[in-house]
Amino acid sequence: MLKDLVAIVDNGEAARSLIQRATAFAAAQDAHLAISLMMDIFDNAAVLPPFDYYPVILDRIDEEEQRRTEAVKAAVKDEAVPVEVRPVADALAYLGGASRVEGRYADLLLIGGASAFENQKLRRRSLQAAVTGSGGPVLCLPDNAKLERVDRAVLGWDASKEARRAARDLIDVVNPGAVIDIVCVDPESTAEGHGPVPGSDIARHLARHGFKVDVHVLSAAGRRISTVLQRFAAENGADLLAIGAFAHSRMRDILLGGVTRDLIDDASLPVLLSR
Amino acid sequence: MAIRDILAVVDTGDKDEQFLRDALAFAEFHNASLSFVVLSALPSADYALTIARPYVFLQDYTEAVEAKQQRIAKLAGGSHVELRTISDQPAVIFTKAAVYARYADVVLFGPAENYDYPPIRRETIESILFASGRPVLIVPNGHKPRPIGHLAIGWNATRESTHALRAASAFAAPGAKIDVIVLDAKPSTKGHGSEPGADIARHLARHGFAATVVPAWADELSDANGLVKAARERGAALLSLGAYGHSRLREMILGGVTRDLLGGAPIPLLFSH
Repeated sequence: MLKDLVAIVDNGEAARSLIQRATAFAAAQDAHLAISLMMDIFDNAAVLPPFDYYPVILDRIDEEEQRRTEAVKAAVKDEAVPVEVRPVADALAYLGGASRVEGRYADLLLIGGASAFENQKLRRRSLQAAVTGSGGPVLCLPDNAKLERVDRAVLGWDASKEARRAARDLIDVVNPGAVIDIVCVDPESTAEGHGPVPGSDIARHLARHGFKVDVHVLSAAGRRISTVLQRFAAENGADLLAIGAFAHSRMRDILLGGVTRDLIDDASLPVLLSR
Repeated sequence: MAIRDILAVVDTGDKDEQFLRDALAFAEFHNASLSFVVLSALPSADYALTIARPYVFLQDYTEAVEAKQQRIAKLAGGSHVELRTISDQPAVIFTKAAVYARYADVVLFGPAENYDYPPIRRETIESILFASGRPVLIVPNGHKPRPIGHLAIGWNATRESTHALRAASAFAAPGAKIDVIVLDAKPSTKGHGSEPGADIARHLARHGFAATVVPAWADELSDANGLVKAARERGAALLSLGAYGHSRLREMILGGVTRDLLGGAPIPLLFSH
């Protein structure tokens, strides 16, 4: 059950749509929502001129922070449920750590698509830090994608422990009795991974949790795995795609294509990332 | 999240009668499916000297496994339990056990005394913690399962602590009291935030739990027993911990909370990584 959500943004204007959709999700889940407004203190025109007086720069940084905070507060003011706003300002290098900490005390971290962010580096760093270091799942809500209650989800399954965490996190997110499609792309039976019938063990486990489960074994046939998963989700009307994140080595991702990276960069539906 | 799928791990010794009963009672209480996996370690070069009961003939290993399976079936009576065996070299046992563990909600072990091969038991627990992502529950003998209205969490604001928190929530009864034993509660940017304990108390409250933050200092709890003692003194029925929050190597060299507690304790210990 979801009761405590945190959305990460870096502004109150471009992120307006994301904020509205995050609030709608929180309201539908009957969960508290806090907006963590992350601000890179050096991402500020005031810092650039090298000859300005130091106190003037600090004032400008403060002003910018206040302006952004007010913008976010204005964005949440008219929402149906109360939304907490938490400004966090620091050097970019430390903001990743801030995302990790936020994720530690939340059920789920929400991060929007590229157009919701002014600072793309901040978006990527927050995502990466949150996924790898917070201990909880991250929900990527791409531009225009809405999510309220999840009746139908796709679990990308490669029998890794990361995918296992995705299955566990999915249980908290989907409706009781929801339909879960387990999708294995070109599975290979190995000693530490898939068994002789890929997906069957996790299917049985999820069925024990009361979900309607089906296993689908698909072939990539030259396409990217992220494309295969998204296409399946679209064709079957899934509300959400869940995967274990960064389960493979960096080298493998470079050679074969990284599913997580693809979906972080450009997903066509909400994606739940777990690790 | 409910507990629906339990894996209980035993070996071919005969000192675990009580644990078998405890595992069956636990599964019945949670109305969950139960699988037993019997570990039978065949000697390999590095383990030949540590195995307690070196059978001379391969057949003795097979017979020991069958005997255990029969005992389990007899104790289970009418209730349906799944029985699996891993009869192989230790390295294979550690890997396969972790793979089986992946499909359970929680993995049960008895205290070290219940096993004929404690070193195998310990490394299997470690392998499960590292490679399956599932929590391990060490159940003291004679543990009577009941709704847990009061539990304790060891919290040091690491990722592993977060997993311990989520695992504990699955066991806690609605509205349960949760004591968050916050270790070295200094404000920091890395974990505790500006008000150590406040965030976690608020988070737990949103889930309907009555959270109390109990600050504690590492020098007071210099041994693992201190943590268990603190939990028991407060009346907690279970202690949930992040396992190996520090690196495993560091714990082996310096001694660590996880390693000390893996043998078991007077109260159930829930480990997560």
